[in-house]
Amino acid sequence: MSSLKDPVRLVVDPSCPDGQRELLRHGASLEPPRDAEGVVWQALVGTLGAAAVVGAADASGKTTTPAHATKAAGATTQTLVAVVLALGALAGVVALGAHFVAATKSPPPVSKSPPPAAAPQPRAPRAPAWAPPPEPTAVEKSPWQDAPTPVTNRAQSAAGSPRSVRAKRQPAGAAATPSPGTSASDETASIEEARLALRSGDPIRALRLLEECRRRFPAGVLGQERELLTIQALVSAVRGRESRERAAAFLRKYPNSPHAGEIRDLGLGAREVR
Amino acid sequence: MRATVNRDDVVETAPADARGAGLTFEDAYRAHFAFVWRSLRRLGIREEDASDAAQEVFIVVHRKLPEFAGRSKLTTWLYGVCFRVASERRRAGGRAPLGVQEAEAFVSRPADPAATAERNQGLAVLERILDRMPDEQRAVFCLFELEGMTGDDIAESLEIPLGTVYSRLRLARAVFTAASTELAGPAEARIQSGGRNA
Repeated sequence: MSSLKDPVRLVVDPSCPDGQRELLRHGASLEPPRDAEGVVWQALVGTLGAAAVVGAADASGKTTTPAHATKAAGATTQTLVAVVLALGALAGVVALGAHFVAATKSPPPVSKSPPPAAAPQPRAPRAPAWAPPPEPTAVEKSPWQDAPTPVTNRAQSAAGSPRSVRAKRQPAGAAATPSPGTSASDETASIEEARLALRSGDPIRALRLLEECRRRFPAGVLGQERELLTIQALVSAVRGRESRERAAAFLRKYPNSPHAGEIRDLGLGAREVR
Repeated sequence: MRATVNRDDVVETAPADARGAGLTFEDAYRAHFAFVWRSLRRLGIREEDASDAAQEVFIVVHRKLPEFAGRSKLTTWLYGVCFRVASERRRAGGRAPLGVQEAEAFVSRPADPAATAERNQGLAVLERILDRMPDEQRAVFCLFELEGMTGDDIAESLEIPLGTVYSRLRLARAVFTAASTELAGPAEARIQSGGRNA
C-alpha cells in the first residue's frame, strides 16, 4: 500500500540540486560484493546445519542449492550436447563430440519433475551451489570455498556470535594464464570446465574461465554457448543487472538461437534493467 | 513460471503465512540477501563487517520466519531485524566515523575506472553524510530515499507512527542538505583533479 501523504523523493524532485540527486543515485546503486551471498550462505550452513537451512525438502535431494544457482547450470547439459554433436558432425570432429557428451552426461540429473512456481526445482545434479565442489579440481580456491562449513551449535541465538564470514575477495588478475590453444576441442574443454565450475556451485570461477575462454577464442564456434553459460553464471552470482543486460543483448543478437528460449526462461527479460 | 530474485515479488504474493505459501528460508535468503546487505551497510555497518552482520540477520530470520505473519512485506520485517542487529553491533563495538580513504573503499568492483571512481566517491560522500544522522533518522532516510519504501512501510518496519516517519525524514533531509553542500564540493574537486585523496 502506498501512502498518499508521502513527500516527493529527492532523487526525482527537480527542486533538489543535481549534486544531491546524484549522491542519492549512487547510494541507491549499492550492491553487495559478488561473492558475499555465497560466503554468508555457506557460513549459515555451517552454523545452522545444512538440513536446517534448506529445510525438510532435503529428503528428495532437492535443495542444498538456491534454486537459481543450479537451474542454469543443469539447463545447459542438453543444449550444449546437442550443439556440440551437431558441430562435430559438420566438422567431422567425432572425438570432440564424444568427449563433450561424456563429460556433460556425468553426473546425471536427479529429478526431472517440473519446478513449482514459488520454489523452482533445480534441474541440475545436486552439487551444492553454495558449498565447496565435491572434487577440488579448481585451479585456485574459490572465495566461496574458504568460508567455514563445519556444523556448530544449532541453538546459537541471534545475538550470539555466528561464525565469521569475512568475504574473501577474488584476487585481481588471478585467472589462470591462458594457454595458446586454438582448436575446437580446446574451446569445448574450456567451456566444459566453466560449466562444471558453475554446476559445482562456483559461478565466480565459472565467469573467470568463461572470460579466459573469450580471450582465447574470440571467434570460437561455441560463442553462443559461452554466452549462455556466462548469463547463467551471472544469475548464480546474483549479478542481476549484468545478467539482464547480457540476456537482452543475446536475444537481440541471436533471436532465433536454440538457447533463446532457455534464456527467456530465466525470467530476465521481463525485468527492468536498472 | 519460476521464482525470480526481484526484491518483493515473493513477498507481495505471499498469503498470511510466508512459509505456508512456499517461502522457504532459502527463498527468503535468495530474494533478500542483497536488501539485507545494503540495509546493514546503510545503517553504518562497515563492509568488512557486513557479511557477519548479514549472517546474524539471517539466523534471526531462520528462527522467526515460521512466525512471520505476512501482514506486511517481508522486506519491512527484514529491515526491522537489520536495524536491531546493526544497533546492537554498533553499541557493542562503537562506530567510528569513516575516514576518507576508508569510505572510498565503500565499494570496490572492477568496471570502467572513471565511472567506478565517480561512483565510489559518491558512495563515500553519502556514507559520511549518513554518519552524521542519528540512527533513527538515518534509517528513515535510507528506506525512503534510497530503498524507495513508502512511509507506511517504514512506519511498520520501524514500529513507529507515520507522523514520526515524516518528522524524522524532514530532519534527516536537513542534515543531508547541509552535509552534502559541505562534503560533495571537495569530493567533486578531487575527482576532477584525478586524485582520490587530496
